[in-house]
Amino acid sequence: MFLNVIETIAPDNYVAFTFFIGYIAMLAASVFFFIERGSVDKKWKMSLLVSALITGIAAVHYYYMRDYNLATGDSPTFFRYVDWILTVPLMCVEFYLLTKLAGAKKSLLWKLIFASTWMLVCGYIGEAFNPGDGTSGHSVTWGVLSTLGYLYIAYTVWFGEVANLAEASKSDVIKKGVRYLAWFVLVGWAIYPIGYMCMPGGWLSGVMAPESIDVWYNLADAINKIGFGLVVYTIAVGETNKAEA
Amino acid sequence: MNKFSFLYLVFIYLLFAVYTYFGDINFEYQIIGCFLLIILFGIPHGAIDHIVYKTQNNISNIKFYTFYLSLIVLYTVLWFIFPKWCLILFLLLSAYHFGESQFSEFNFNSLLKKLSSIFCGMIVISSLIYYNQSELIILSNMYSDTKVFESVFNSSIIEVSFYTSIILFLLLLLYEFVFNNNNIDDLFTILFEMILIHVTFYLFSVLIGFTLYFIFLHSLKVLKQEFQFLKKNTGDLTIKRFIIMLLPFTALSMFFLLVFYIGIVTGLLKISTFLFLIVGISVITLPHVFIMANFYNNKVH
Repeated sequence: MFLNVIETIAPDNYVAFTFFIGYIAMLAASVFFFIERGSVDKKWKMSLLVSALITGIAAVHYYYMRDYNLATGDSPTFFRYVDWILTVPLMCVEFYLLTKLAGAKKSLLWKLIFASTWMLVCGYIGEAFNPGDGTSGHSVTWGVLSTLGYLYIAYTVWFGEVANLAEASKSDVIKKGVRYLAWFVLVGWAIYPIGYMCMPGGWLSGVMAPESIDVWYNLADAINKIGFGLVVYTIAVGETNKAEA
Repeated sequence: MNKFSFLYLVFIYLLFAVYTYFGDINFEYQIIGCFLLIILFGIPHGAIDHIVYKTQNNISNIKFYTFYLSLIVLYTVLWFIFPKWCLILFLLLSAYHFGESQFSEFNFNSLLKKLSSIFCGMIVISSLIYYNQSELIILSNMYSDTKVFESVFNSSIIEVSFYTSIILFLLLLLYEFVFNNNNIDDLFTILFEMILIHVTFYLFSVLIGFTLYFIFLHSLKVLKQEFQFLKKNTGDLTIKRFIIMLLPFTALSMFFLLVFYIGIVTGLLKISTFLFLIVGISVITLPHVFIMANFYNNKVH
């Protein structure tokens, strides 16, 4: 099946191109983070494991999304949300793990997991069950509800508990690292509400061709997940080196 | 990113929802919403120019108010003689002032800061006009006394200014962060705000785009700076006391706005509402720009 599918991929099929890149890049990142667990201090091993899980889960889903898209030509909305509902809460877990040494409580972990799950469930209902009759009430309602979850996470990492804990950690490595992760949430994750608004009936639906949205999602997902993991890795290595010095 | 740019982002998402649901926002609702925000935060940010200036400089009330009011009267008179040049002056003043406040909290060396702030201000004004040129031209042609503005909004200088200011600004930023080792987080913040500005000016009407920028990235920021400055220099200052300080001249501005508006509506004043608003805002901007330039200069030193 695979050789046949590869032969029929057009050279300008950027969606397939980015699915392939996304899948293999995430797999490579997952292997990297998993192996690098051995290079960091014990207290950072969990963070790298979570990074490996995020990219590993995404790699598996991208493998299926690649085939789904090639077979049907459709955007794999279902698989995307299955992937996000696992990986996004794990990214929120990273914020807890990074600030745990500065006093982060389990309640922060649960709040972030709840907010991210809320964001994704509402987004899925808004996107996957859109009546498609030209009315926008359904997508707007669930889009607004989903955005509330997103804004809660963004506020928490920029100005709320996560930001305050990073500041209290007295470690420049952690402060900088959490700040970089906050930029990922603010800028990197913005592709998701933008993509939501680009679906048929959305306000930005004429801005991009539907297949272009998949290209942007694929690129953004790879950058967000791998980049996120690399920042966590940098923190882990930085703190390990400091402790050994 | 600061809390004001976060609020800016929240409002953008809110407007996305509104536009998706309703398709468009009626011009009357735009005016009501923008007007409310401008009354609440826009006008007040200039309403304590007298307190800010006199805290930094030893000057009598008579001298201060003579200076302030003379500029207002002079500029008002000039508007009726040279409206096109007064509009250009207003745009240049606004560009200078917006740029100055946008960069006031960054730790750049003084020459680069000055240049960056000038180009930043040019980006704000030129992109607002560039992205909304057709709307501004339509507005200008709606009234006989503002037809002369079309040549300003339609000028090729706007496009040149748009591209030049963006390129020079980015080059300056690159220089500052590569060679002067500035905080990378500041670079991201500046770029993020610039992107937000371009997105809002492009996607939304000129009134909404400008109001969002003016309130969240300018007025609220300046209000916070003024509050912190006065708190440091006058001892114990609470937010409640600060708001009370803002009230007199805010109320006075609203009073004159109402009086002139009634004059227009009843036909006593023979100018269009559009011209009245432009003139009204510009004549209070001129002295305000002087006061704030002095404020930022003295804050540094």
